[in-house]
Amino acid sequence: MKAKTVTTGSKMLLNGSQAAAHAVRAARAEVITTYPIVPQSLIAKQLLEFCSKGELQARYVSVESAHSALSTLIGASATGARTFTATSSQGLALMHEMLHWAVGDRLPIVIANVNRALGAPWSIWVDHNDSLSQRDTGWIQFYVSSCQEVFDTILQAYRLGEIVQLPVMVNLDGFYLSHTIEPTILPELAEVDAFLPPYQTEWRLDPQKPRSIGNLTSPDYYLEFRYKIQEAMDAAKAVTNDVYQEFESHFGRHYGSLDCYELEDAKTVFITYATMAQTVKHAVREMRREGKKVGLIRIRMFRPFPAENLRQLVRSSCRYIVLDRNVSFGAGGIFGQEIRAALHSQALDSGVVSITLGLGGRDVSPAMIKEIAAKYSEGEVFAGDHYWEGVRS
Amino acid sequence: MSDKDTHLPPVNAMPPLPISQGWMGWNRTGEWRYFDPVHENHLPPCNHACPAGEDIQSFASLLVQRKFREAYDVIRESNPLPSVCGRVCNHPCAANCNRSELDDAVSIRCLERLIGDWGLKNVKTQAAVIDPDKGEIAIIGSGPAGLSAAWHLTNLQYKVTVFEASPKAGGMLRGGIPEFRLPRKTLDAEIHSLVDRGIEFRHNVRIGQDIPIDDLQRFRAILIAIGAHKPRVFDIPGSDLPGVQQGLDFLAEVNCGKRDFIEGNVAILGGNNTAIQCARAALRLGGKPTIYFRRSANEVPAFADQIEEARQEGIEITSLTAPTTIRKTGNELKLTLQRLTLGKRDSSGKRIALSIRGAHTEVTVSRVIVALGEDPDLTFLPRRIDRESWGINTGGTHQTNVGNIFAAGDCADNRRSVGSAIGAGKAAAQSIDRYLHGKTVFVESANRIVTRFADLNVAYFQRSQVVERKKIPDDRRLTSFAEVNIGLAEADALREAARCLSCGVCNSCDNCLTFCPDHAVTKQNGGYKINYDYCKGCGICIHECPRDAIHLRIKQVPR
Repeated sequence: MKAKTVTTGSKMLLNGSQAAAHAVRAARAEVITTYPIVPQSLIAKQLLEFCSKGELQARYVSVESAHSALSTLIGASATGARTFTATSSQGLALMHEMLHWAVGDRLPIVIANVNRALGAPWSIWVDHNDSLSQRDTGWIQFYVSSCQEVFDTILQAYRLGEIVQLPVMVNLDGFYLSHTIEPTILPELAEVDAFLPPYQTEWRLDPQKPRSIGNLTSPDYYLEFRYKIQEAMDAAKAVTNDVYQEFESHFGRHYGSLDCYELEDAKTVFITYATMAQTVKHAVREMRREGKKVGLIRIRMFRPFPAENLRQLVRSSCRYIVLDRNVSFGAGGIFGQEIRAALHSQALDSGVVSITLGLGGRDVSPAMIKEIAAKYSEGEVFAGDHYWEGVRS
Repeated sequence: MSDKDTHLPPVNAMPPLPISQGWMGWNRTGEWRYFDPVHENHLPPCNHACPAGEDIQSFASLLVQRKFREAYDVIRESNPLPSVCGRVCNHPCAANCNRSELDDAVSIRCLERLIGDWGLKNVKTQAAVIDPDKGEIAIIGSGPAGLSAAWHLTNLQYKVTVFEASPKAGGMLRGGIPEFRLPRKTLDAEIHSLVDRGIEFRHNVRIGQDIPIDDLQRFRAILIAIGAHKPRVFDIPGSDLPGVQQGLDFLAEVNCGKRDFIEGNVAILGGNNTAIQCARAALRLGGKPTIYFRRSANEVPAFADQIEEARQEGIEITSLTAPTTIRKTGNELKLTLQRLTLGKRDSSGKRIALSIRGAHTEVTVSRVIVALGEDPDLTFLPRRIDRESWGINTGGTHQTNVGNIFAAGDCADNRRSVGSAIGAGKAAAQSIDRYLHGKTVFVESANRIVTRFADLNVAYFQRSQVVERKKIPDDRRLTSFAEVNIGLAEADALREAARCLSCGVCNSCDNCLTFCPDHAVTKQNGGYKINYDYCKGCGICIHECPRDAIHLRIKQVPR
């Protein structure tokens, strides 16, 4: 990330949850729902505080379930309101039906999903199977790795979603990010207003002009409506770049859908996402000092998948180690699969190793990254396989 | 794309989302419905339990709105004596109140009393319009059954004459209930309102003695409502001694103002309301009463609040004791009591009280008051009228086997409460009216469905404590005949009225309207209307109705 100084605003110590809530406030969300779940509840708490103090003029609806949290927003968003909810794990799973609905109705709802492993057994700690299980619902998905990025990405999510008319899920790691305090720059609200104009759409419900949305659609039309969602997803790739540029011009911080580190002469490149990427970055820096030619690609945007961007970075002479804090049972790491699929057309997938690790909040340390680098960079490992790291023998 | 598809829009001409281009009202989604929700009130359990059928939910709701006059009129539609009943009825309504399963039953008696007293103070009862063609009705007896029947028949435009053997109307209300439960002022005022209504009272006329019953044949119908005043036989050695007195006689004396000081211990024999009232009266006259009851403590037949108030006043109830002899020694009486124990069950399931051999106690008392129950005195009644073990037989219809002679109250059933007598008077009035219109007289049976606690959605009700009546201080309570119970202050009564859950009766809470996902419920004429063009019959309104006032009907398929 290029560090540019910001013209206005203030720097505060915030955890990821507070950063999310501040972003929602800055975005002037109009309807908010939450249903409590660890580790999301800090976001709800902060937003309630904003609303009760009048610092955010939103309708805050207490609901009886995560399913209703999203159903309520679907109704609100359909009237043209800017909406927000936050959830985790089982809550997101319960929303599943309505996640599809929000996409079909083309509603630019923003969800902050604080990643948490799914039960059973119960776990409150991070992995990414909750949000990755929703990859085919049609939601745009971001995975972020700092408190500042939480704040910035939520603003970008509203801008992007409202242009392409798709809902956006911003994923942040439970505890590692939601409960960890970092210095975070909060821009002036006027600056945010300039970046993020009020949401306007011609496709909104209006009692003065009664219409029905999402109603029964015959086989003559359904296929076209699905095609349009795919079109919107494709468009989002280009629109995202515009949004990144606009964002940088307003706030001075540069983002991409991928984030690269020490790639130039690297022989072994880690590809990962979320907070794990920060650990890997630290390990790569140390390994570089030891003279090892290692690098890092962090994937920030998972849907739409930035396949073209990735293909431009990948070279056949290089070994790619994908670190997945998730698993698709019977298939392997989900990022691993996506990356292989993206690279296959140019036969670049043969150097990709897929590793599942760190599930249910298991710590992934720099030492572990170094061990993995040593173990998988060359030698006996068959790149097409899927490996588990950290399983006790 | 095949040729037949060409009339369809190309993808780029379609909106991004499936959205109608206009109002979808033409799509009558109500056609999907296979059952209909219907706003329909069910019967609250209080109303169901009230022998007089008072519309309690309605007057409580009117009270909340401070509509005192309307509340008074609602009660008097069923019961002309709310001030009396608010004090002496045993209130089966409250015993059946659904609220008791949530926290405490609504104190309906306090509401009834407040409304009744408000009416006595603020309402001058208007004379009824009598239809001379309807003819005249004679009522024998002016107790609660007679007064109630007179009121309802007058409201049905009959000219009513009430014959009363005593100098004043009221029957058991006057002779059998002491002032500390029912002040004379209240009773007189409420009876006076019946005079105002146009009912004719002929006092000091004992039918069968002063006038033969056959002289009443000029009346189109006769209602016998003479109550039950004849004490049951009490025959043990010494039962005829001076100082041994029947409870009703004692109460009658006390109630007409004979208040002689009583010294020493007083034995009360029996466990009914008369026994309890005798004990409480004797206490106030200086005596130290003890109640001796033949059966076990939990079989005492008096009303629970009576027993409780007697206990508060320090009156002891000794159960499983039976008197065997009374002897006179000097100025005192020696009462011998046999201790009993419960044995095997008899055919009715009650355990038989058996004597414990040799277990006798003797108590020294100044008086023995006997209250073993009363039966109606039917000696004046022509033989041709059928009887039952407890009195006149009407088979529950209130009509005797002689067409135009009817009977109601304690002389015709064995329920023996003011409330049931008032209810019987009302039912008898309806029977007489039906009979005089040439219709069949039948036993009234409620065919409306009663709302029970399980039918409510209690998620909508907050718990709250009952606001109950208070008692006067002990120093006044135990030494005078001042009324023991103090009615609620108006603000408290309004608060208590607001605790009514309105079981089974819509009170326009708007839940159905709020929750209907199809906006098919609208307000109309103070109630609600369901637009069946759009109601899909999801049943959410039925579930979310807190009070069981919306019900499911299988959709009528048009033929």
